[in-house]
Amino acid sequence: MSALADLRRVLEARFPNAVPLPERTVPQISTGLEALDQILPSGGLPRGRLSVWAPGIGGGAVLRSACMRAVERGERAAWVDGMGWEAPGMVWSGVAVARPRTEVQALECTEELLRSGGFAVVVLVGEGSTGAQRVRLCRAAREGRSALVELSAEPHMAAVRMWGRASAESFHWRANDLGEPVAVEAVTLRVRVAAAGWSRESDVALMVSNHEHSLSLDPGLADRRGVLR
Amino acid sequence: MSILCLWIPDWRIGEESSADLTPLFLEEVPRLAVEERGVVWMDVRGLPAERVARRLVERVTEREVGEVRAGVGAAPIVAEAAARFGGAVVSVVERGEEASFLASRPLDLLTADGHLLDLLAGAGLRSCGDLAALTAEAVEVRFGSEAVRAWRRARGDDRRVLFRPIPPQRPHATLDFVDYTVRDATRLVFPLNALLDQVCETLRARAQRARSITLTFSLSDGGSAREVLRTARPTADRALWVRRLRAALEKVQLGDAISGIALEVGSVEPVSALQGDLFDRGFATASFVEEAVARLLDRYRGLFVRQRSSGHPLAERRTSWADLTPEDVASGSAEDENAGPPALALQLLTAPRPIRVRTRGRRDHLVPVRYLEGKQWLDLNSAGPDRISGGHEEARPYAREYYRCVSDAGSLLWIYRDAMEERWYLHGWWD
Repeated sequence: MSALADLRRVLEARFPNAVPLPERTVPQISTGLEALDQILPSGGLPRGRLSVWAPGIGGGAVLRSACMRAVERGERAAWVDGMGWEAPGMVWSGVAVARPRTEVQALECTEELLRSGGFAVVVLVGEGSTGAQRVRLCRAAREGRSALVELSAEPHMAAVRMWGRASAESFHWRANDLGEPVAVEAVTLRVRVAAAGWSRESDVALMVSNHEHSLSLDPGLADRRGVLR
Repeated sequence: MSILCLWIPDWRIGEESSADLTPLFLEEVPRLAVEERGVVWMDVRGLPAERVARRLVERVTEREVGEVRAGVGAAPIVAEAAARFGGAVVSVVERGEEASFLASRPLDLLTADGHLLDLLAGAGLRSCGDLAALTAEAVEVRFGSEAVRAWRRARGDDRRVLFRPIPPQRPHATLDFVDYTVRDATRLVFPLNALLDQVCETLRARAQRARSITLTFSLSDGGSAREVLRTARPTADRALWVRRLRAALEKVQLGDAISGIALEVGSVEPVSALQGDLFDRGFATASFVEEAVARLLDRYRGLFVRQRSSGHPLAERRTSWADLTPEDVASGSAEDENAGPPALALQLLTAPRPIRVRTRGRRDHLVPVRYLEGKQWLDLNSAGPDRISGGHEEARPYAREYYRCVSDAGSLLWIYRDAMEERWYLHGWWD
């Protein structure tokens, strides 16, 4: 038994990246969501490894939270948005936001930021890397000791895979006096995490930021509320 | 002898009646300083001072600007005294003789401060020698610090800085093609690389970094063309400048063959480093991040941005993006307010997508109850409408009814009905 333990120690020293995440030898980045951190194999997003959040609801909110918690701790975080989406009124709180124009630019940017070694977490949103590109990104993440997270359906080489799903009943509505829904206030996601030798699920509660309209009623229209009938 | 003083009491700078003598002076001496009272200081270090003085006096006299006299001395006050009171057209005061030469000169040579001159006269001091005979302490106690300056001058110790230091030449390198000309600019990569090596080496030796480098092509027809190269931040990194050069050479279009090339640094700044903060976790890696971001920005301008939001009624027109510098990214300093708890945020599609919707009536509006996603109709639970309208001032009127809808598939969508077109659109989703 001691020989097996010795062999294990030697292998861990020789191949640190091959140590399963549940061994908790890998430094991690907290997501800022305790319920999620508890089901992640290393207690957070693993540094130097690739994590993947499959397309669906909640990935953006969770990863933004991880970035902002990193910045709060005095580290750096980068958000590489390869899709060019806009989020009006978004507060980034010191997260470095890159908006590449092409998918190649997004991959190049992600790799360069990872290699710099100055970012605790780098999130890549877009078509995602595949094949050799992903190998390069994983290597860059390992060299830079950064947690690389992709919002992608492709799980290849990912140390941690995460899914979030919600049903119509998961959303918490605020109703008016007539009992009609007025706004969604929160949502409870069912998040599943999988890694080598690891599979956990948990409910994660998230707020919903409601987009405020600044109404510009125009008396020139037939209906002052802007609707022509 | 280092200072030559020309005394031309009738010459006034800027007056139309006066001849412009400055070019004439600069033909004889490298540096000069002109005072309005007709005194011209010249730096004659390393030059035959007396010969230069005589030649200047002759040439200025030819211009008929009135009386001209010159004095040469080791200190400005000595040279001025020699010019004004030397008795000859050119007077030279040898080293060691300054104090004795100044001793009999009037006190107004030392200072233009009338109040101080009155004080000195009141104490019975008439000449520079009288003042120089006192001790510095006695002068300072009785007459103040300005008098100490005059006392020093009375002893031939004049600490005025007449000439600003000559700035070092900006790093540059040139190459002329004597036997041939080059038509294809891309062939210049290797010679330019060598020139850039010289320039960057000079920058590093001076502990400087360049903000810009000007690439000048001399053309066979005698003309020239210029390209100003800039990087995202000042640097002396040759590899970075080589990339900028290559990019410039690929784009440049010249009217004639190239007969020479030159590189000259536009402006420089000293290499500086910030003091570290023990509690700043990102400090140790700041320079690496800056370099990485600068490399990216050199390739893709405007890659790193800061989001700014306005209060425009249309969500798609609310967001603008301001470019960030490498330093901004590395410092990570947030101008934004602190983020709240983790929350789903509205994401907009790049353009609203037309969708098919089934509705039911509710009071004065229609509520979407189903929408077609691909080939599947999904039930919707909807809140709304939020109504916006406007845009007549821009001749782009809009009228929309927005609904927040939760679909069967568990997604929160932002759907609107365009009241102008009577069509439904998917504008975004919460993630």
